[in-house]
Amino acid sequence: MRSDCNDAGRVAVPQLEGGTGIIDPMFFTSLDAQGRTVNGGEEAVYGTATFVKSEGPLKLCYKFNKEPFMEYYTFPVTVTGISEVRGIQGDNDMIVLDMVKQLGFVGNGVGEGDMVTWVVESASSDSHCLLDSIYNGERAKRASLEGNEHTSHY
Amino acid sequence: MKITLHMVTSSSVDVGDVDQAVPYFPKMFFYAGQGLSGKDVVMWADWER
Repeated sequence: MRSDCNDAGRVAVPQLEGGTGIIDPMFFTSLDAQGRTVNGGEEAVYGTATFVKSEGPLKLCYKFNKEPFMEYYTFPVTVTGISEVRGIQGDNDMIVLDMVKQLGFVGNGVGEGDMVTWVVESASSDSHCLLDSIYNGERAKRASLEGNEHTSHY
Repeated sequence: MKITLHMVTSSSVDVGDVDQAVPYFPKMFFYAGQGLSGKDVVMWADWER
């Protein structure tokens, strides 16, 4: 059976610049991601992937050396991302001090348990989301899921 | 003649969930199974069956 992972021009997206993501060369290892030794008789490899756009779920296409790609539906990856922020009332980009505002977050892979906060525009790293948050992390409210939207109260 | 069957049996990641990724945040994927080697290549494709 020929996998459509091999039809690069149709549905499969090679992990190259401009595609879904990038993966570095694979390397042998004897451990899994948690540092546990793999089962006897098994081999293990690892590589680093950087996805460049939100989409999915995606299926894994694995190429054993010179063999064609084999498709695996048992290891899906969803690349998350927010495509739109909606104010339930008023403008999407304005909040009045001390007034409760409901905001909906729409996108691929958003779900219950996600959290949001805001940082000053000059923030440039993940750690700033905790250190420079206007809510100092602690007051960042847990979002609840309503349909495919997150509704947060501020 | 010896024939080896190749297959991926498990996947894990260094940080976060194994089935989620965020654009532009590198994620390290580990695979275990039979017949895996450093000459292998992976990519991800649309979910079509």
